[in-house]
Amino acid sequence: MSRASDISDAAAQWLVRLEGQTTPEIWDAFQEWMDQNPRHRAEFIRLREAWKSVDKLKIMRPMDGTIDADLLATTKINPSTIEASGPRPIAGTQRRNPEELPMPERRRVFAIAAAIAAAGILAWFSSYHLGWKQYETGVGGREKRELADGSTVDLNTNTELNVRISSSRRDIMLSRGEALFHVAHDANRPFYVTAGGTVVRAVGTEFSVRIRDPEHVDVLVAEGKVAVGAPGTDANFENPSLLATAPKVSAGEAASVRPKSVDIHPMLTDDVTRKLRWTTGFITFQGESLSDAVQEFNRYNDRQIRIADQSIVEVKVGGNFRVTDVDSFTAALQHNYGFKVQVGDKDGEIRLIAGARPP
Amino acid sequence: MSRNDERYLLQALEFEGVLRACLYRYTRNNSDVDELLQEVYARLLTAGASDDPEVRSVRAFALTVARNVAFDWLRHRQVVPIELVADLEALEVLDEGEQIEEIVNSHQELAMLVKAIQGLPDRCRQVFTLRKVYGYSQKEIALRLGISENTVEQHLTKAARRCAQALFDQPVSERRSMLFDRFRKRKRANVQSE
Repeated sequence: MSRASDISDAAAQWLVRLEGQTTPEIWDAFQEWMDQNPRHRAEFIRLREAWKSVDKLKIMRPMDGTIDADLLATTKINPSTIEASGPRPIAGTQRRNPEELPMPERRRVFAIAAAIAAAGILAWFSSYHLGWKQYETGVGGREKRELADGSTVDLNTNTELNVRISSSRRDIMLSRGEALFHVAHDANRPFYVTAGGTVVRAVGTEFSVRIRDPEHVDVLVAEGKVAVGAPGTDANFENPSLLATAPKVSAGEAASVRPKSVDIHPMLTDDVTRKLRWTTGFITFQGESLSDAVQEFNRYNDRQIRIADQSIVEVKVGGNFRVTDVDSFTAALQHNYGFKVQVGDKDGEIRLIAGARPP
Repeated sequence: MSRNDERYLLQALEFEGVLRACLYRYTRNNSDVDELLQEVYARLLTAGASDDPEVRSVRAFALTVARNVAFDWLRHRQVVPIELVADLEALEVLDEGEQIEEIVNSHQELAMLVKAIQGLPDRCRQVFTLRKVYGYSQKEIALRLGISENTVEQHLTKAARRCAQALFDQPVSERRSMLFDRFRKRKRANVQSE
Protein backbone atom coordinates (compact mmCIF):
# COMPACT_ATOMS: atom_id res chain seq x y z
CA MET A 1 0.00 0.00 0.00
CA SER A 2 1.38 3.35 -0.95
CA ARG A 3 1.02 6.35 1.27
CA ALA A 4 -1.45 7.90 -1.18
CA SER A 5 -3.64 4.87 -0.99
CA ASP A 6 -3.55 4.86 2.81
CA ILE A 7 -4.61 8.48 2.93
CA SER A 8 -7.36 7.84 0.45
CA ASP A 9 -8.60 4.91 2.49
CA ALA A 10 -8.57 6.90 5.71
CA ALA A 11 -10.40 9.79 4.01
CA ALA A 12 -13.08 7.44 2.71
CA GLN A 13 -13.47 5.93 6.16
CA TRP A 14 -13.99 9.35 7.70
CA LEU A 15 -16.48 10.27 5.03
CA VAL A 16 -18.53 7.17 5.70
CA ARG A 17 -18.16 7.32 9.47
CA LEU A 18 -19.38 10.90 9.65
CA GLU A 19 -22.50 9.90 7.76
CA GLY A 20 -23.36 7.43 10.50
CA GLN A 21 -23.84 8.05 14.18
CA THR A 22 -21.32 10.54 15.42
CA THR A 23 -20.19 11.87 18.75
CA PRO A 24 -18.25 15.02 19.62
CA GLU A 25 -15.22 12.74 20.18
CA ILE A 26 -15.45 11.42 16.62
CA TRP A 27 -15.62 14.97 15.32
CA ASP A 28 -12.58 15.94 17.35
CA ALA A 29 -10.62 12.97 16.05
CA PHE A 30 -11.68 13.81 12.52
CA GLN A 31 -10.62 17.41 12.97
CA GLU A 32 -7.27 16.28 14.24
CA TRP A 33 -6.76 14.02 11.23
CA MET A 34 -7.75 16.80 8.85
CA ASP A 35 -5.30 19.19 10.47
CA GLN A 36 -2.41 16.74 10.38
CA ASN A 37 -1.60 17.27 6.73
CA PRO A 38 -3.14 19.30 3.91
CA ARG A 39 -3.10 16.14 1.84
CA HIS A 40 -5.60 14.57 4.25
CA ARG A 41 -7.99 17.40 3.79
CA ALA A 42 -7.48 17.51 0.03
CA GLU A 43 -8.25 13.82 -0.37
CA PHE A 44 -11.24 14.12 1.93
CA ILE A 45 -12.66 16.94 -0.19
CA ARG A 46 -12.08 14.93 -3.34
CA LEU A 47 -13.98 11.93 -2.00
CA ARG A 48 -16.69 14.11 -0.52
CA GLU A 49 -17.31 15.70 -3.91
CA ALA A 50 -17.51 12.31 -5.59
CA TRP A 51 -19.84 11.00 -2.92
CA LYS A 52 -22.09 14.02 -3.37
CA SER A 53 -22.22 13.53 -7.15
CA VAL A 54 -23.27 9.96 -6.68
CA ASP A 55 -26.57 11.19 -5.30
CA LYS A 56 -27.61 11.69 -8.91
CA LEU A 57 -28.22 7.96 -8.99
CA LYS A 58 -31.30 8.51 -6.82
CA ILE A 59 -33.13 9.24 -10.06
CA MET A 60 -32.91 5.59 -10.92
CA ARG A 61 -35.12 4.50 -8.07
CA PRO A 62 -38.23 2.69 -9.32
CA MET A 63 -41.30 4.91 -9.26
CA ASP A 64 -43.45 2.24 -7.65
CA GLY A 65 -41.58 2.38 -4.36
CA THR A 66 -40.14 -1.11 -4.55
CA ILE A 67 -36.73 -1.58 -3.01
CA ASP A 68 -34.14 -3.70 -4.70
CA ALA A 69 -30.57 -3.89 -3.48
CA ASP A 70 -29.59 -5.37 -6.84
CA LEU A 71 -31.00 -2.47 -8.80
CA LEU A 72 -27.61 -1.64 -10.31
CA ALA A 73 -26.60 -5.22 -11.03
CA THR A 74 -25.37 -5.95 -14.55
CA THR A 75 -28.49 -8.03 -15.15
CA LYS A 76 -30.74 -5.05 -14.43
CA ILE A 77 -29.05 -2.13 -16.08
CA ASN A 78 -26.63 -1.68 -18.90
CA PRO A 79 -24.45 1.42 -18.54
CA SER A 80 -24.60 2.06 -22.27
CA THR A 81 -28.34 2.77 -22.06
CA ILE A 82 -27.59 5.46 -19.49
CA GLU A 83 -24.96 6.88 -21.75
CA ALA A 84 -27.42 6.98 -24.63
CA SER A 85 -30.52 8.29 -22.96
CA GLY A 86 -29.56 9.51 -19.53
CA PRO A 87 -30.46 8.13 -16.14
CA ARG A 88 -34.08 7.37 -15.42
CA PRO A 89 -36.05 5.30 -12.97
CA ILE A 90 -35.44 1.60 -13.43
CA ALA A 91 -38.58 -0.51 -13.58
CA GLY A 92 -39.66 -1.74 -10.19
CA THR A 93 -41.05 -5.15 -9.56
CA GLN A 94 -44.66 -4.12 -8.98
CA ARG A 95 -45.40 -2.54 -12.30
CA ARG A 96 -43.76 -3.37 -15.54
CA ASN A 97 -43.67 -0.29 -17.67
CA PRO A 98 -40.16 1.05 -17.66
CA GLU A 99 -40.99 3.77 -20.12
CA GLU A 100 -43.83 5.08 -18.03
CA LEU A 101 -42.18 8.17 -16.72
CA PRO A 102 -38.99 9.29 -18.35
CA MET A 103 -37.75 12.45 -16.69
CA PRO A 104 -38.89 15.12 -19.15
CA GLU A 105 -42.45 13.83 -18.77
CA ARG A 106 -42.52 14.42 -15.07
CA ARG A 107 -43.36 18.04 -15.27
CA ARG A 108 -46.22 17.44 -17.63
CA VAL A 109 -47.62 14.68 -15.48
CA PHE A 110 -47.44 16.94 -12.49
CA ALA A 111 -49.25 19.71 -14.34
CA ILE A 112 -52.05 17.31 -15.19
CA ALA A 113 -52.11 15.95 -11.67
CA ALA A 114 -52.27 19.46 -10.28
CA ALA A 115 -55.10 20.35 -12.62
CA ILE A 116 -57.04 17.25 -11.62
CA ALA A 117 -56.41 17.99 -7.97
CA ALA A 118 -57.50 21.59 -8.36
CA ALA A 119 -60.70 20.56 -10.13
CA GLY A 120 -61.27 18.00 -7.40
CA ILE A 121 -60.78 20.50 -4.63
CA LEU A 122 -63.30 22.83 -6.24
CA ALA A 123 -65.93 20.12 -6.63
CA TRP A 124 -65.27 18.92 -3.14
CA PHE A 125 -65.54 22.32 -1.61
CA SER A 126 -68.81 23.15 -3.27
CA SER A 127 -70.48 19.98 -2.04
CA TYR A 128 -68.91 19.67 1.41
CA HIS A 129 -68.46 23.28 2.18
CA LEU A 130 -70.34 23.18 5.45
CA GLY A 131 -69.21 21.70 8.67
CA TRP A 132 -65.51 22.43 8.41
CA LYS A 133 -63.53 23.63 11.35
CA GLN A 134 -60.23 25.39 10.89
CA TYR A 135 -57.11 25.11 13.05
CA GLU A 136 -53.99 27.14 12.52
CA THR A 137 -50.58 27.85 14.06
CA GLY A 138 -48.09 30.61 13.23
CA VAL A 139 -44.32 30.34 12.88
CA GLY A 140 -42.94 28.79 16.08
CA GLY A 141 -46.41 27.78 17.22
CA ARG A 142 -47.49 24.32 18.30
CA GLU A 143 -50.92 23.10 19.35
CA LYS A 144 -52.64 19.91 20.36
CA ARG A 145 -56.34 19.60 19.55
CA GLU A 146 -58.90 16.99 20.35
CA LEU A 147 -61.41 16.31 17.59
CA ALA A 148 -65.08 15.42 17.95
CA ASP A 149 -64.45 11.71 17.34
CA GLY A 150 -61.84 11.44 20.11
CA SER A 151 -58.86 11.62 17.75
CA THR A 152 -56.14 14.15 18.50
CA VAL A 153 -54.06 16.25 16.21
CA ASP A 154 -50.77 18.01 16.96
CA LEU A 155 -50.15 20.98 14.72
CA ASN A 156 -46.52 21.84 14.16
CA THR A 157 -45.18 25.30 13.34
CA ASN A 158 -46.85 27.34 10.60
CA THR A 159 -49.60 24.84 9.93
CA GLU A 160 -53.16 25.14 8.72
CA LEU A 161 -55.73 22.41 8.51
CA ASN A 162 -59.50 21.99 8.22
CA VAL A 163 -61.43 19.22 9.86
CA ARG A 164 -64.84 17.80 9.14
CA ILE A 165 -66.23 14.86 11.05
CA SER A 166 -69.41 13.34 9.67
CA SER A 167 -71.25 10.10 10.35
CA SER A 168 -69.64 8.30 7.42
CA ARG A 169 -66.13 9.69 7.28
CA ARG A 170 -63.55 11.93 8.89
CA ASP A 171 -61.77 14.39 6.66
CA ILE A 172 -58.73 16.52 7.30
CA MET A 173 -57.46 18.91 4.73
CA LEU A 174 -53.89 19.94 5.45
CA SER A 175 -53.10 23.02 3.47
CA ARG A 176 -49.81 24.01 5.04
CA GLY A 177 -47.17 22.66 7.43
CA GLU A 178 -47.09 19.43 9.36
CA ALA A 179 -49.41 17.57 11.71
CA LEU A 180 -49.41 14.38 13.75
CA PHE A 181 -52.69 12.49 13.90
CA HIS A 182 -53.59 10.07 16.65
CA VAL A 183 -56.67 8.48 15.16
CA ALA A 184 -59.36 7.00 17.38
CA HIS A 185 -60.30 3.59 16.05
CA ASP A 186 -63.57 3.60 14.12
CA ALA A 187 -63.81 1.12 11.28
CA ASN A 188 -67.06 2.66 10.02
CA ARG A 189 -65.65 6.12 9.60
CA PRO A 190 -62.36 6.09 7.72
CA PHE A 191 -60.04 8.96 8.47
CA TYR A 192 -58.74 10.81 5.40
CA VAL A 193 -55.96 13.35 5.31
CA THR A 194 -55.58 15.28 2.09
CA ALA A 195 -52.39 17.26 1.51
CA GLY A 196 -52.08 18.77 -1.92
CA GLY A 197 -52.96 15.92 -4.26
CA THR A 198 -51.89 13.28 -1.75
CA VAL A 199 -54.46 11.41 0.24
CA VAL A 200 -53.80 9.23 3.29
CA ARG A 201 -56.42 6.90 4.68
CA ALA A 202 -56.34 5.46 8.17
CA VAL A 203 -58.73 3.65 10.47
CA GLY A 204 -57.06 3.72 13.88
CA THR A 205 -53.42 4.66 13.93
CA GLU A 206 -50.84 7.34 14.58
CA PHE A 207 -49.12 9.08 11.72
CA SER A 208 -47.80 12.45 10.64
CA VAL A 209 -48.14 14.28 7.35
CA ARG A 210 -45.92 17.11 6.24
CA ILE A 211 -46.23 19.27 3.16
CA ARG A 212 -42.68 19.99 2.04
CA ASP A 213 -43.70 21.63 -1.17
CA PRO A 214 -46.66 21.21 -3.49
CA GLU A 215 -44.92 18.35 -5.25
CA HIS A 216 -43.64 16.60 -2.17
CA VAL A 217 -45.45 15.33 0.91
CA ASP A 218 -43.92 13.19 3.68
CA VAL A 219 -45.90 10.61 5.61
CA LEU A 220 -44.52 8.94 8.73
CA VAL A 221 -46.36 6.13 10.48
CA ALA A 222 -45.75 5.52 14.18
CA GLU A 223 -48.53 3.02 14.79
CA GLY A 224 -50.83 0.92 12.61
CA LYS A 225 -50.99 1.20 8.86
CA VAL A 226 -52.23 3.76 6.34
CA ALA A 227 -52.93 3.75 2.62
CA VAL A 228 -51.29 6.50 0.60
CA GLY A 229 -52.59 7.72 -2.73
CA ALA A 230 -50.11 9.80 -4.71
CA PRO A 231 -51.23 12.77 -6.80
CA GLY A 232 -52.06 11.82 -10.35
CA THR A 233 -53.07 8.28 -9.48
CA ASP A 234 -56.60 6.85 -9.33
CA ALA A 235 -56.47 6.83 -5.57
CA ASN A 236 -57.48 10.40 -4.90
CA PHE A 237 -59.94 11.61 -2.34
CA GLU A 238 -62.78 11.69 -4.82
CA ASN A 239 -62.42 8.01 -5.32
CA PRO A 240 -61.38 6.68 -1.94
CA SER A 241 -62.38 3.08 -2.57
CA LEU A 242 -59.48 2.82 -5.00
CA LEU A 243 -57.17 3.39 -2.05
CA ALA A 244 -57.54 -0.32 -1.43
CA THR A 245 -54.91 -0.89 -4.11
CA ALA A 246 -52.76 2.09 -3.14
CA PRO A 247 -49.38 1.54 -1.42
CA LYS A 248 -49.59 0.83 2.31
CA VAL A 249 -47.26 2.40 4.82
CA SER A 250 -46.87 0.55 8.12
CA ALA A 251 -45.63 1.46 11.56
CA GLY A 252 -41.95 2.30 11.47
CA GLU A 253 -42.03 3.35 7.85
CA ALA A 254 -41.91 6.71 6.16
CA ALA A 255 -43.11 7.57 2.69
CA SER A 256 -42.02 10.33 0.42
CA VAL A 257 -44.92 11.12 -1.87
CA ARG A 258 -44.54 12.85 -5.19
CA PRO A 259 -46.70 12.94 -8.28
CA LYS A 260 -47.39 9.30 -9.18
CA SER A 261 -44.87 7.95 -6.74
CA VAL A 262 -44.91 6.75 -3.16
CA ASP A 263 -41.44 5.96 -1.98
CA ILE A 264 -41.47 3.94 1.22
CA HIS A 265 -38.47 3.61 3.52
CA PRO A 266 -38.27 1.64 6.73
CA MET A 267 -37.18 3.62 9.77
CA LEU A 268 -35.70 2.68 13.07
CA THR A 269 -37.86 3.23 16.14
CA ASP A 270 -35.36 5.78 17.41
CA ASP A 271 -35.60 7.72 14.18
CA VAL A 272 -39.40 7.72 14.25
CA THR A 273 -39.30 9.09 17.79
CA ARG A 274 -36.72 11.64 16.74
CA LYS A 275 -38.77 12.77 13.74
CA LEU A 276 -41.79 13.31 15.99
CA ARG A 277 -39.89 15.07 18.76
CA TRP A 278 -41.30 18.38 17.56
CA THR A 279 -44.48 17.48 19.43
CA THR A 280 -42.48 18.17 22.59
CA GLY A 281 -41.01 21.40 21.28
CA PHE A 282 -37.58 19.99 20.45
CA ILE A 283 -35.74 18.94 17.33
CA THR A 284 -32.92 16.47 17.26
CA PHE A 285 -30.34 16.30 14.53
CA GLN A 286 -28.24 13.26 13.98
CA GLY A 287 -25.95 13.60 11.02
CA GLU A 288 -28.26 15.82 8.95
CA SER A 289 -26.50 18.22 6.60
CA LEU A 290 -26.15 21.77 7.82
CA SER A 291 -28.43 22.97 5.04
CA ASP A 292 -31.19 20.56 6.12
CA ALA A 293 -30.75 21.51 9.76
CA VAL A 294 -30.90 25.21 8.96
CA GLN A 295 -33.97 24.71 6.82
CA GLU A 296 -35.57 22.84 9.70
CA PHE A 297 -34.75 25.60 12.18
CA ASN A 298 -36.07 28.26 9.85
CA ARG A 299 -39.49 26.63 9.86
CA TYR A 300 -39.88 27.54 13.50
CA ASN A 301 -38.47 31.01 13.62
CA ASP A 302 -38.94 34.42 12.12
CA ARG A 303 -35.23 35.06 12.68
CA GLN A 304 -33.92 33.24 9.64
CA ILE A 305 -30.52 31.60 9.35
CA ARG A 306 -28.68 31.63 6.04
CA ILE A 307 -25.57 29.67 5.12
CA ALA A 308 -23.41 32.30 3.46
CA ASP A 309 -20.67 29.88 2.58
CA GLN A 310 -21.18 27.02 0.15
CA SER A 311 -18.27 25.08 1.58
CA ILE A 312 -20.16 24.26 4.76
CA VAL A 313 -23.61 23.29 3.49
CA GLU A 314 -22.80 19.59 3.62
CA VAL A 315 -21.28 19.61 7.08
CA LYS A 316 -23.07 17.03 9.20
CA VAL A 317 -24.56 18.26 12.45
CA GLY A 318 -25.97 16.69 15.55
CA GLY A 319 -27.64 17.80 18.75
CA ASN A 320 -30.90 18.41 20.53
CA PHE A 321 -32.42 21.88 20.50
CA ARG A 322 -35.55 23.69 21.57
CA VAL A 323 -37.16 24.63 18.26
CA THR A 324 -37.32 28.32 19.04
CA ASP A 325 -33.84 28.56 20.55
CA VAL A 326 -31.88 29.80 17.55
CA ASP A 327 -29.13 31.16 19.75
CA SER A 328 -28.19 27.81 21.24
CA PHE A 329 -28.07 26.31 17.78
CA THR A 330 -25.77 28.97 16.36
CA ALA A 331 -23.65 28.91 19.53
CA ALA A 332 -23.19 25.15 19.11
CA LEU A 333 -22.14 25.67 15.50
CA GLN A 334 -19.65 28.33 16.54
CA HIS A 335 -18.24 26.23 19.29
CA ASN A 336 -18.16 22.81 17.66
CA TYR A 337 -17.39 23.67 14.06
CA GLY A 338 -15.65 27.01 14.41
CA PHE A 339 -18.18 28.73 12.16
CA LYS A 340 -18.49 32.47 12.28
CA VAL A 341 -21.88 34.02 12.84
CA GLN A 342 -22.87 37.44 11.54
CA VAL A 343 -26.16 39.17 12.19
CA GLY A 344 -27.54 41.49 9.51
CA ASP A 345 -28.18 45.05 10.73
CA LYS A 346 -31.43 45.56 8.93
CA ASP A 347 -33.18 42.22 8.69
CA GLY A 348 -31.59 40.46 11.67
CA GLU A 349 -30.72 37.60 9.34
CA ILE A 350 -28.15 35.24 10.85
CA ARG A 351 -25.38 34.35 8.43
CA LEU A 352 -23.13 31.33 8.88
CA ILE A 353 -19.61 31.45 7.51
CA ALA A 354 -16.84 28.88 7.63
CA GLY A 355 -14.26 29.77 10.24
CA ALA A 356 -10.52 29.33 10.20
CA ARG A 357 -10.86 25.68 11.01
CA PRO A 358 -11.71 23.48 8.05
CA PRO A 359 -15.26 22.15 8.10
CA MET B 1 -13.12 36.03 4.78
CA SER B 2 -15.96 34.06 3.27
CA ARG B 3 -13.75 33.09 0.33
CA ASN B 4 -13.74 29.35 0.09
CA ASP B 5 -10.24 27.92 0.24
CA GLU B 6 -11.47 24.77 -1.49
CA ARG B 7 -12.30 26.61 -4.69
CA TYR B 8 -9.16 25.82 -6.72
CA LEU B 9 -9.23 22.21 -5.66
CA LEU B 10 -12.90 21.84 -6.51
CA GLN B 11 -12.32 23.18 -10.01
CA ALA B 12 -9.25 21.04 -10.50
CA LEU B 13 -11.26 17.89 -9.78
CA GLU B 14 -13.07 18.51 -13.04
CA PHE B 15 -9.88 17.93 -14.98
CA GLU B 16 -8.18 15.42 -12.77
CA GLY B 17 -7.56 13.26 -15.83
CA VAL B 18 -5.49 16.04 -17.36
CA LEU B 19 -3.47 16.48 -14.19
CA ARG B 20 -2.87 12.76 -14.01
CA ALA B 21 -1.77 12.67 -17.63
CA CYS B 22 0.61 15.51 -16.93
CA LEU B 23 2.07 13.80 -13.84
CA TYR B 24 2.27 10.45 -15.57
CA ARG B 25 4.66 11.84 -18.10
CA TYR B 26 7.17 12.51 -15.34
CA THR B 27 6.61 9.39 -13.27
CA ARG B 28 5.60 6.69 -15.75
CA ASN B 29 3.93 4.96 -12.88
CA ASN B 30 0.35 5.16 -11.65
CA SER B 31 1.00 4.78 -7.96
CA ASP B 32 3.47 7.65 -8.10
CA VAL B 33 0.82 9.66 -9.93
CA ASP B 34 -1.59 9.08 -7.02
CA GLU B 35 1.08 10.24 -4.65
CA LEU B 36 1.94 13.41 -6.54
CA LEU B 37 -1.67 14.24 -7.29
CA GLN B 38 -2.50 14.39 -3.59
CA GLU B 39 0.38 16.77 -3.17
CA VAL B 40 -0.91 18.93 -6.03
CA TYR B 41 -4.34 19.08 -4.42
CA ALA B 42 -2.85 19.90 -1.04
CA ARG B 43 -0.95 22.81 -2.61
CA LEU B 44 -4.13 24.01 -4.33
CA LEU B 45 -5.85 24.08 -0.94
CA THR B 46 -3.01 26.04 0.56
CA ALA B 47 -3.05 28.44 -2.37
CA GLY B 48 -6.79 28.88 -1.90
CA ALA B 49 -6.26 29.88 1.71
CA SER B 50 -3.48 32.37 0.98
CA ASP B 51 -3.93 36.09 0.48
CA ASP B 52 -2.42 35.95 -3.00
CA PRO B 53 -4.39 37.56 -5.79
CA GLU B 54 -7.07 35.38 -7.32
CA VAL B 55 -5.80 32.95 -9.95
CA ARG B 56 -7.30 33.64 -13.37
CA SER B 57 -7.01 30.29 -15.03
CA VAL B 58 -7.24 27.51 -12.50
CA ARG B 59 -6.38 24.99 -15.18
CA ALA B 60 -3.10 26.69 -16.12
CA PHE B 61 -2.33 27.25 -12.45
CA ALA B 62 -3.02 23.65 -11.50
CA LEU B 63 -0.85 22.39 -14.35
CA THR B 64 1.95 24.64 -13.19
CA VAL B 65 1.59 23.33 -9.66
CA ALA B 66 1.61 19.78 -11.04
CA ARG B 67 4.78 20.49 -12.95
CA ASN B 68 6.44 21.97 -9.85
CA VAL B 69 5.42 19.00 -7.76
CA ALA B 70 6.80 16.66 -10.42
CA PHE B 71 10.08 18.58 -10.67
CA ASP B 72 10.52 18.46 -6.89
CA TRP B 73 9.91 14.77 -7.01
CA LEU B 74 12.39 14.27 -9.86
CA ARG B 75 15.00 16.28 -8.02
CA HIS B 76 14.71 13.94 -5.07
CA ARG B 77 15.01 10.97 -7.32
CA GLN B 78 18.28 12.28 -8.75
CA VAL B 79 18.21 9.75 -11.53
CA VAL B 80 15.94 10.79 -14.35
CA PRO B 81 15.08 8.21 -16.96
CA ILE B 82 16.42 9.30 -20.30
CA GLU B 83 13.12 9.04 -22.20
CA LEU B 84 11.62 11.52 -19.79
CA VAL B 85 14.04 14.22 -20.76
CA ALA B 86 13.03 13.78 -24.38
CA ASP B 87 9.40 14.22 -23.46
CA LEU B 88 9.77 17.33 -21.40
CA GLU B 89 9.73 19.54 -24.43
CA ALA B 90 6.48 18.06 -25.68
CA LEU B 91 5.06 18.61 -22.27
CA GLU B 92 5.64 22.30 -22.30
CA VAL B 93 3.60 22.61 -25.44
CA LEU B 94 0.78 20.53 -24.08
CA ASP B 95 0.61 22.36 -20.82
CA GLU B 96 0.33 25.77 -22.39
CA GLY B 97 -3.29 26.00 -21.46
CA GLU B 98 -4.36 23.69 -24.20
CA GLN B 99 -8.05 23.20 -23.64
CA ILE B 100 -8.46 19.53 -23.43
CA GLU B 101 -12.14 19.24 -23.89
CA GLU B 102 -14.29 17.95 -21.08
CA ILE B 103 -15.12 14.91 -23.15
CA VAL B 104 -17.25 13.52 -20.47
CA ASN B 105 -20.84 14.68 -20.45
CA SER B 106 -23.03 13.97 -17.49
CA HIS B 107 -24.67 10.92 -19.04
CA GLN B 108 -21.31 9.39 -19.77
CA GLU B 109 -20.22 10.25 -16.29
CA LEU B 110 -23.14 8.39 -14.75
CA ALA B 111 -22.66 5.48 -17.12
CA MET B 112 -19.03 5.21 -16.02
CA LEU B 113 -20.16 5.41 -12.44
CA VAL B 114 -22.67 2.59 -12.85
CA LYS B 115 -20.04 0.54 -14.63
CA ALA B 116 -17.63 1.09 -11.76
CA ILE B 117 -20.29 0.09 -9.25
CA GLN B 118 -20.99 -3.04 -11.23
CA GLY B 119 -17.32 -3.89 -10.90
CA LEU B 120 -17.63 -4.02 -7.10
CA PRO B 121 -18.27 -7.29 -5.27
CA ASP B 122 -22.01 -8.07 -5.02
CA ARG B 123 -22.42 -7.30 -1.32
CA CYS B 124 -20.52 -4.06 -1.66
CA ARG B 125 -22.69 -3.06 -4.60
CA GLN B 126 -25.87 -3.86 -2.67
CA VAL B 127 -24.79 -1.83 0.33
CA PHE B 128 -23.90 1.05 -1.95
CA THR B 129 -27.26 0.84 -3.73
CA LEU B 130 -29.25 0.89 -0.50
CA ARG B 131 -27.23 3.84 0.80
CA LYS B 132 -26.91 6.05 -2.25
CA VAL B 133 -29.89 5.16 -4.42
CA TYR B 134 -32.45 4.55 -1.68
CA GLY B 135 -30.97 6.71 1.06
CA TYR B 136 -31.02 4.10 3.84
CA SER B 137 -28.90 4.84 6.89
CA GLN B 138 -25.96 2.58 7.64
CA LYS B 139 -27.78 1.17 10.62
CA GLU B 140 -30.82 0.33 8.52
CA ILE B 141 -28.66 -1.35 5.90
CA ALA B 142 -26.96 -3.44 8.55
CA LEU B 143 -30.35 -4.58 9.86
CA ARG B 144 -31.74 -5.23 6.42
CA LEU B 145 -28.82 -7.27 5.16
CA GLY B 146 -28.05 -8.89 8.49
CA ILE B 147 -24.45 -7.68 8.60
CA SER B 148 -22.61 -5.55 11.14
CA GLU B 149 -22.51 -1.78 10.87
CA ASN B 150 -18.78 -2.07 10.73
CA THR B 151 -19.03 -4.21 7.60
CA VAL B 152 -21.43 -1.73 6.07
CA GLU B 153 -18.87 0.98 6.75
CA GLN B 154 -16.12 -1.03 5.07
CA HIS B 155 -18.22 -1.65 1.98
CA LEU B 156 -19.11 2.03 1.69
CA THR B 157 -15.49 3.07 2.16
CA LYS B 158 -14.49 0.89 -0.74
CA ALA B 159 -17.39 2.15 -2.85
CA ALA B 160 -16.57 5.79 -2.14
CA ARG B 161 -13.03 5.36 -3.40
CA ARG B 162 -14.26 3.57 -6.47
CA CYS B 163 -16.76 6.36 -7.19
CA ALA B 164 -14.11 9.07 -6.95
CA GLN B 165 -11.96 7.07 -9.32
CA ALA B 166 -14.80 6.63 -11.80
CA LEU B 167 -15.83 10.27 -11.66
CA PHE B 168 -12.51 12.05 -11.67
CA ASP B 169 -9.85 9.75 -12.87
CA GLN B 170 -9.99 8.13 -16.22
CA PRO B 171 -7.42 5.53 -17.14
CA VAL B 172 -4.21 7.37 -17.73
CA SER B 173 -3.23 5.27 -20.70
CA GLU B 174 -6.35 6.36 -22.61
CA ARG B 175 -5.88 9.95 -21.64
CA ARG B 176 -2.29 9.80 -22.46
CA SER B 177 -2.67 8.33 -25.90
CA MET B 178 -5.37 10.89 -26.58
CA LEU B 179 -3.07 13.71 -25.55
CA PHE B 180 -0.32 12.35 -27.70
CA ASP B 181 -2.62 11.98 -30.68
CA ARG B 182 -3.67 15.54 -30.37
CA PHE B 183 -0.14 16.65 -29.94
CA ARG B 184 0.99 14.73 -32.97
CA LYS B 185 -1.84 16.07 -35.07
CA ARG B 186 -1.00 19.55 -34.03
CA LYS B 187 2.62 19.08 -34.78
CA ARG B 188 1.78 17.69 -38.18
CA ALA B 189 -0.48 20.66 -38.82
CA ASN B 190 2.36 22.98 -37.87
CA VAL B 191 4.76 21.22 -40.17
CA GLN B 192 2.33 21.46 -43.06
CA SER B 193 1.67 25.13 -42.57
CA GLU B 194 5.37 25.92 -42.52
